[in-house]
Amino acid sequence: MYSTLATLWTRCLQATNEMFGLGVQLTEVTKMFAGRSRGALQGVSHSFEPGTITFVTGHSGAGKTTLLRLIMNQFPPTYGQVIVGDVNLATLNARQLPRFRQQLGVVFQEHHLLSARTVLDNVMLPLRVSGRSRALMESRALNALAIMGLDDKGDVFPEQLSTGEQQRVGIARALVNRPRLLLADEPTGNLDPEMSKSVMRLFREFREIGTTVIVASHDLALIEAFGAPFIELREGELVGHTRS
Amino acid sequence: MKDSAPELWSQSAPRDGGVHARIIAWGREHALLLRESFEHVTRNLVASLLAWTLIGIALSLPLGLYLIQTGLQLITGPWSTSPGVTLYLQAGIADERLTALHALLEEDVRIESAIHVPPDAALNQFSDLIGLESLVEDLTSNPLPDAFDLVPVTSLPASDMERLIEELASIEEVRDVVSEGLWLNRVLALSELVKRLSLILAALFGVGALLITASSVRLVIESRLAELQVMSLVGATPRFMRRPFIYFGIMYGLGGGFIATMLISVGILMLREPALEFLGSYGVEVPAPGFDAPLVMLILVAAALIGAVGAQGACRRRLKSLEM
Repeated sequence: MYSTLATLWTRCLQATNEMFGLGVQLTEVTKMFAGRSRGALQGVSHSFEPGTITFVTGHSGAGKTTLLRLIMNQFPPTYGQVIVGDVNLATLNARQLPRFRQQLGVVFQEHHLLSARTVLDNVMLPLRVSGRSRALMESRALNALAIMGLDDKGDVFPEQLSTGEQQRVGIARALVNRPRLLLADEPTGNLDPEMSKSVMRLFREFREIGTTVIVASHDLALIEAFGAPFIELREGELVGHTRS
Repeated sequence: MKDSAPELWSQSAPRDGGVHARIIAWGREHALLLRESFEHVTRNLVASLLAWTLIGIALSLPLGLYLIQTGLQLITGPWSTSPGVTLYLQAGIADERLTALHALLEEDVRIESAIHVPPDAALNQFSDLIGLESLVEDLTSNPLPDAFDLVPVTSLPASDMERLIEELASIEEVRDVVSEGLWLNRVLALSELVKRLSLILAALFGVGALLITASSVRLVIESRLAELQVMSLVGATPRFMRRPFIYFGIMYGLGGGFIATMLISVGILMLREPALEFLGSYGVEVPAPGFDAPLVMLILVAAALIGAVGAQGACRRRLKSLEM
């Protein structure tokens, strides 16, 4: 009896988590940039299920970053369509786009931290743009910094941090809003192996509460050690994938 | 680095607290932006001063013309309702005829009052006015004729006024009829000209001030492009991104309005004395034009509005052109 209830409860939680996470559907997506004869992405079709974690791998220039930027609607595909949740990104207007992005957490390869603002202000930014109360912003941001091992760095400026610490601030900022879809572009690029594993464990925990996680990384050893499904890009084409 | 991260903040984070807390958060956000804008403006004081001065100069010209026009209205004010008429008579009119003429004028319904000005009184007035008593004393005879100062009724239409002057001029003993309406009309026409000129200049220089603000704000936007791009990527709305720049615009506008007020005040201080002396030589005594608190408030509000509109324009154009 108890085991049945527990199973039912677990399934309910899973269902809720799946509803929370945003799935991503790429259909024949091609992205051409001006002055380049070959597309950065060419006819890529793939489905990222809600509440899963998937790696996107490939060499430098394979199209990993372009893929993530298409999903965050930084630019539209030249051909094909990108659907996130139940929204075709091509239909988003200027007013809907910010609301869409407020559901995402993005770890940028170049960190994109605001140099004139403190670390705490940087981490609070996603909450600030969505009009959250000061108490909530500070509480969540301080927690996020604590999780990333940066408890004592809230009042310093990004330039005073090492590259690895800046990377962790970027991760804290991506997670602070409890995103429904987490996009991470080489999130462990500047981290030591131990810290990389911790970040990956953190991403897995996010998946467990329902967040869909897509991580672009060329670190095959890390991907294998993590044992998560992945897709592989080569010169803009999808050349392989494992089941999620 | 700690584990069990999601639980950590999902459990300990305080709730937003509903609409009330959101309104407070909104107010705090604006207060923060205001403080940041003020800090930015004071940190870049030279650039800000330059912008303020340019805006101030652009606003001061129409403002100065407005004050001149106000001064002209003060001058014409006492006469604008019923300009007087002076009736100069031939020399040597007998007293009986003068009395009859006075009675005739007072009976006329179109005339509110008629005051007889004897030649001696006129000479004394003239002497007081030009301040050359000794010269007047040296005159062997009084060259001035008898005169009547007439005040027509206030409701008298212009056409009836013209007819009255014609009738007065046709009286046999009358040598000349001088109506204040003539020069008053000239001053009123000048006042109207200055008024329209100040309106045109206000529009032109207002646009100028707007463009100066827009270009100053645009420079601030350019210096913060990276920040704006990050904000856009984490879900900031265009309105949220525009807010700090609107505050910059308001700061630039307010500073410009303040400089314009200062410039005009200096101008008034420099011109007040000679202007009053000049007007005094025509026997015109008016209070010197100047600022009162509502006018200063109006100038500052208008300048802030110009700044806000300029900043809004700059933001819309620049943020739209950003590919984010």
